[in-house]
Amino acid sequence: MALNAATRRDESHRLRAQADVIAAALPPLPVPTRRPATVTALGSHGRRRAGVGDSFWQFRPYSTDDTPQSIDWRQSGKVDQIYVREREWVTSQTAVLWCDTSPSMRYRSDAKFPAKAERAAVMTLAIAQLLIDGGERIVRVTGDGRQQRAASAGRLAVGQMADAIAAELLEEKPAKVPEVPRFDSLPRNAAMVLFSDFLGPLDDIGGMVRAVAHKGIVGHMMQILDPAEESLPFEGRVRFVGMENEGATVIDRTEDARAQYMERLAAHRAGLKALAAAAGWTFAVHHTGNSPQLAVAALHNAITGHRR
Amino acid sequence: MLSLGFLSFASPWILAGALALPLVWLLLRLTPPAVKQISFPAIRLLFNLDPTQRTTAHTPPWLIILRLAVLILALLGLADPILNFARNNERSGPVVVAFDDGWAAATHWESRVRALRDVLETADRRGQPVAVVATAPTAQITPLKLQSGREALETAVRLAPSPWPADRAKAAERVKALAKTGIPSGASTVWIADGVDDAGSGELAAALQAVGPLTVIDAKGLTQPIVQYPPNRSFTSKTEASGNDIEVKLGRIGGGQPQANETVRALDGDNQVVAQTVVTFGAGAATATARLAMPTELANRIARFDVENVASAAATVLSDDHWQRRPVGLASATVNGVRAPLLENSYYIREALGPYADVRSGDLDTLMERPLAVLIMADGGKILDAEQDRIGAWVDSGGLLVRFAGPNLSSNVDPLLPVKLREGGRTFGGAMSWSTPATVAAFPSTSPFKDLLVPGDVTVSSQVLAEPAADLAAKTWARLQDGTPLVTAARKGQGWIVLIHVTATPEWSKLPLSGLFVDMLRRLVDISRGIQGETEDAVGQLPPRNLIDGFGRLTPPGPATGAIAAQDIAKTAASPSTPPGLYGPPGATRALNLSTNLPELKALPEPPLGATRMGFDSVTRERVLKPWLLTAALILLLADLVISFALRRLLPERAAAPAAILLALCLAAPRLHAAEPRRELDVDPAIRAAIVDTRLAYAATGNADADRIASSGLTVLTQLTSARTAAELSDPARVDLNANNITVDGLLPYPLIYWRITPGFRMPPPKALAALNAYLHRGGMVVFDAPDQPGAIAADGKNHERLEQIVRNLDIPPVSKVANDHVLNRTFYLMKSLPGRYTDGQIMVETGSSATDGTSSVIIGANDWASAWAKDANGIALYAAIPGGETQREQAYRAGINMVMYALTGNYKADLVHLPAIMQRLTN
Repeated sequence: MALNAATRRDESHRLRAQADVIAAALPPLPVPTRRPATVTALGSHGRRRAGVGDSFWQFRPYSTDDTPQSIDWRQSGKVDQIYVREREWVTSQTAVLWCDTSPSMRYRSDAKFPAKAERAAVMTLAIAQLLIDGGERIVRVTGDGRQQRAASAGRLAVGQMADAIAAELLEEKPAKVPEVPRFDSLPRNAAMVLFSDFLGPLDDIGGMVRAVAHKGIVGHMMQILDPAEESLPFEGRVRFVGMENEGATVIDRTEDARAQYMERLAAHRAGLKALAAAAGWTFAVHHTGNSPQLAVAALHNAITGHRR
Repeated sequence: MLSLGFLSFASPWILAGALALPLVWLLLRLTPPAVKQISFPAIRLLFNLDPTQRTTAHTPPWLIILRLAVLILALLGLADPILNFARNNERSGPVVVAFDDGWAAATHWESRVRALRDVLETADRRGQPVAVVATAPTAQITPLKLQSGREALETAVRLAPSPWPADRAKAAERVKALAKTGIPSGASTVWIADGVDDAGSGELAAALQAVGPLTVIDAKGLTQPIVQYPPNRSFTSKTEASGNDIEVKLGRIGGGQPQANETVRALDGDNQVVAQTVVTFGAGAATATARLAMPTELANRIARFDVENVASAAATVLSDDHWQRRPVGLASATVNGVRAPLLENSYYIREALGPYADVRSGDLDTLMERPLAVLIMADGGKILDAEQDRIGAWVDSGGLLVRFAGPNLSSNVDPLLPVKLREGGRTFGGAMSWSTPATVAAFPSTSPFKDLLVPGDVTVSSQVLAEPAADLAAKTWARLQDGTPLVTAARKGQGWIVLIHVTATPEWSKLPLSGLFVDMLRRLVDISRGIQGETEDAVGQLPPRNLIDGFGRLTPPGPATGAIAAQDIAKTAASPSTPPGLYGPPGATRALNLSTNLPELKALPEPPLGATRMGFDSVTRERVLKPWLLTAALILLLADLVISFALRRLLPERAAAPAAILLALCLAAPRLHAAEPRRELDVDPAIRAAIVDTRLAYAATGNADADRIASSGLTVLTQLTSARTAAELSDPARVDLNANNITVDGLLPYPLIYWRITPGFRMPPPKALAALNAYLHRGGMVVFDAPDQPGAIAADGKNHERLEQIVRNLDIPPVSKVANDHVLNRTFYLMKSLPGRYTDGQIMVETGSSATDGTSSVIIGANDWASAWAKDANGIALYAAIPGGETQREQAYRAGINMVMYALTGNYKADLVHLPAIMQRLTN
C-alpha cells in the first residue's frame, strides 16, 4: 500500500474533528437493552443478579466455597452469622457499526458536497463517540463482513476506528467487497447502525437484514445519498457507468428519463422501509447536501427511543 | 463558361455537386450529438428504462440549414462565379495598353488606375498577355514586352502620375518596336488617355491601331486638367502702403468648355493659406487671370500657389527665394583693408528694411559670396579700386547699388555714381548760416517714389550736389524744394546705381528718422526684384532641395535627381532628370515649375477612325465572387463549430463569449495583417552584418600581402580585445574603397577602419573620398599606417608620400604628435608610446576637434601595427617585432586595444572624473 501514513493520520484527524463537533452537541448514548448480551465485560447495564459490579446487591451467608476476602466483616459483626457481600452484576451493551466505504460511496456530484463515504464516516464516528460516552462497547464491521480488530471501549476505540476508516477511504483501489455485505459473525442481541446508500439489489439487502435481525440485533439503517442521486440533474445524451462494475447504459435525453428515475428511486426506498419495518428496525435518509448534525441527532433519538 | 444574365461561372461543372445536397441533408439529420460519460452510483435504477422514453436526438432544423448554406456557398464559390462578365471585345490575343501618366493624368488618377486594373484583370482572367506602355518618360526605359496580366498588375500598382509631360512619340516608338518583335494575332489595344493633346498623340494612336483595334478610355465629360502659370508679382501703385499685386493665371483646354470657377490659394511654408482668390474661366476661354493684392510682408511668406481641389504638379507653382525676401547687403567700405567702425551708419537702414528684406551686413567679400539683390553702401566712402570692377560687374548683371553720401563723397571718388558730383557739399541752416533747412519736394512722376506722400517735417541740412547735366532731371528720383537732387539713379548694364545725397544717419537730414525713408528703401528693394529675376548672377550647380510629385505634393529628392547648373535653371523644362521643385542651397533656392514651359493646352482630337472612345465608367467592371463566397462559407463554418460546441455543452457558458470574440478576431486578423504590409528593407548583407555585430574593418589596399597582414592582424586584435576587455567584437570586415557602390552608409557601422598604405595604393575615386570624409565627420575613425622602415612588408619608402596624397584629399583638421598624456595612451592600458612592429614611427592625431568632442577622427602612424599583431594559421606571430621582441609585441597588442577602446569610448578616459585614479597609477 503506497499510502502515506501521515496523510492517513491527517484524514483520520479531520474526520474525528468533524465527528467530535457533532457529538459534542448531543448527550451520551447508552443503548437500551432488550436482552443484554452475554458478554462478561463491565458496563452500565445492571443484570439484577449478583455478579461483578460496583453497586451493592445483597448479603448472603458465607458458604465454604467463598473466599475469605469476600466476607463483609461489618455485617458479620452485627450478628453471629458470617455474611458475604454481593454486588450487582453489571454488563455493557455492544453496538455494531457499519460504515460503507465501497466505490459507489466515493461518489459526489459536485465539489461542494462531500463524498457519501466521507459523510458516512463522520456520522459513524460521531455515533461511536456518543456510544463510548454512554459506556457501551463498539464493534465496527467492514464491507467484507469481518469485525475490526481494535479496542472496543474508551476513547482509544474511537481513534482507532477513525484511523481504520480513513485508511479505507484513502485507498486508491478499494478492496473488492460484495455490493451487499454478509455479516456472519456478529454478537447476538447487539444494536447495529448501518451507514450506506443501500442502492444494491433490494433482494440482497433484504437477505442481509433478515440474517442480522435473526441474531436478535436491532438495526438502524441510515441511507446516505448525493443530491444528484435524488434528482438526476443531468441533461442530454449521457452514458452512465456504474461504479461497482454494474455495467453502463446510454440515455439519449436524460431530462426525459428523470421522472422515471425518481419513480424508481421512490419505489426502492419504499422497499427498504418495508424491510426495516419487517425486522423491527429503523430507516432514515440523509443527503450529503444537508447538515450531518441533524441526521445524527435523529439517529440518536431513534436509538434511545427504540424500545420494543 | 456558363452565363446566367449578369452572373457567369468559370467552372460550372462544380455546381453538379449540388445534386448531393439531399444526401447531405439526410446525413446531417441522422448524426447524433456526442455522448457525455458520467459515473453514477444509482445506475441500477437507470437500467432498462421504458423504451418509449428514448427520444431520438435531432439536429435542430436551423442548424441543418446553416450547414447546407455552408455547402452551397462553398460550391458556388468553387464554381468561380464572375459578376458582369464582359462579353464584348472577345478578341483572344494580346492586349497592348497605352497609359498616360504625365502631369495631366493626375486629375481622375484613381479612375484611370481603376480602369487600367479592370483592363488588366480581365486580360489576366482570360490568359491574354498584356503590354503596358506608360507614356511619361522615365529615367530608364526598358523595352516593351508582353507579360502576363498578373505581372502587369504588379507594376501597375506602382504607377504614379509624373510631374512632367508625357512623351507619346517615344511611347509610339516603343509600341512599334514591340510590334516588330511579333505580336500574336487577335491583338487589341487600349489607350487610357489624359485628354491633353501633344505632338505625338496622332503617332501613338496610329501605332496602336497598327497592332489591333483601339479603344480610347478618357475622362469624357469630367473635369479636365488645369495649369497654373507662374504668378507675376508687381509693385502696386494703387495703395498708399507699399503693396504687392500678384497676378495669377490659369490655363485649361479651351473651346467648348463652360464657364468655370477655380480657387487659387497662396500658401506659406507651413501650408497655411495666406490668401486666396477665385479665378473665373469665361465660357470657352482657355486662360483666366485674377489678382491678389497684399502687403509685401505677406507676399514674402508665400511658398507656393495651388488650385484648390486640383492635386496636380501643373497646378502647383512654387515660389523661391527670389520671390521672397530680397537679399540686401549692407556693406561697410573698407579703407586700407581695415573695416571702418561705422555701424552707426547702417543702423537706420537695418531698422527700416529688417521687416521686409533679408538684410545681411559684413564686408564686401562676405556679402558677395551669396547672391544679392541690393547692395547698400551706407558709409559714403570711396569704393576701393580693386572692388570697383567687381561691384561694377555685379551691377551690370542686374544688381542694385544704393550709396549714401558722406563727407568723403563730395568729389568724384569713383565711377560707381549715377551723376557727377560737385566738389564740396552744401550746408543750410547751420549755426553759421542764414538759410533754413530745405524740405523735400513732391516726387517727379517718373520716379518710383511718385505716389509716396512727402511729410512736411523732413528737412535736409546738408547734401552733396550734382554737376548740372542735360540728363540730370531724368536721373533724379527725388529733389528738394529748391530743385537740387536728393536721390539720383542711373542704369548701368542691367542694374541700377542709386545715390542718396544725404547720409544714412540723421546727421545731414531728418530723412532717416522719417517713415518716408522706410518707404523709399522698400521701393528700391522692390525695383531690384524685377531685374534680379531675369538674370542669374549665381554660378555653379543647384542641388535639388524639395521636389513636387505628380499630385503637387512636396517630396524629398531621390537619388536619381541631379543638380542643375544655376544659369540653366530658367530654361530647364521639367523632365525625369530635372523634376519640378526647389533647387539650390537654403536662402538661394530657385524654383523649377512645370507650368513655366508648358505649351497651351489643346484637347485630344477625336480618336481616329475605327477607334472606340469611352469614359471611365463605361469600362465593364468584372467582379470575381469566389473569394467572397468562400470567405462567407468559412465564417459560417466557424460559426457552426461554435454553435455545435454550445449545443453539446462542450463549451462552458463562461467560455462562450470569449470564444466568440476569438472567432471574430481570427476572422479579422488576416485583414489587419494585410493592412500592414511587411516591408523588407533592402540592406547590403555586409552592412547588415556590421550593424548587428560591432566589428573592425580594414581598407583593401590592392596589395595581397598587405591585405593578408591587415586581415590577420585585426583578427588577432579582435580576439585580444574580446578576451581582455568588455568589448565583444565580431570578425573584422574588409572595406574596398575602390568599389563602385561605396557609400558613407557602408562605412558608418564600423567604429574603426585600419588602412595600411602600400605600394599598390590607388587613390580612391572622388565618391569614395566623399564617403570617407562624411564617415570621419560623423564620428568614424581611420587608423592610417604607413610603415616605411627598411624591411617592412609592402613598403618601398614612398608610403609617406602616398599617405600625404590621401590626407590632402581628406577633410582632416590639423594634426599633431600624440602627447604622452593623450587619451589614446590611456584608454585601456597606460602606455608611454604606441609601438607596432617598429617603434620609431611618429604617431599623429588631431590637435583638437570640437565636432567629435575632442576625439580624433584619425590616427596616423608608421609603426606597422598590423604586422606586429598578425599570426599565421598555427597562431605563431608572422613577423618579428623590432627591436623589442615579444615584450614589444605585447606592447603592440596593448596599443591596438587602446586604439579600439579609443574608437569605442572616445574621450571617456579624458574625463576628469578619472583623473585621481589615473594620477595615482601614474605616480606609483
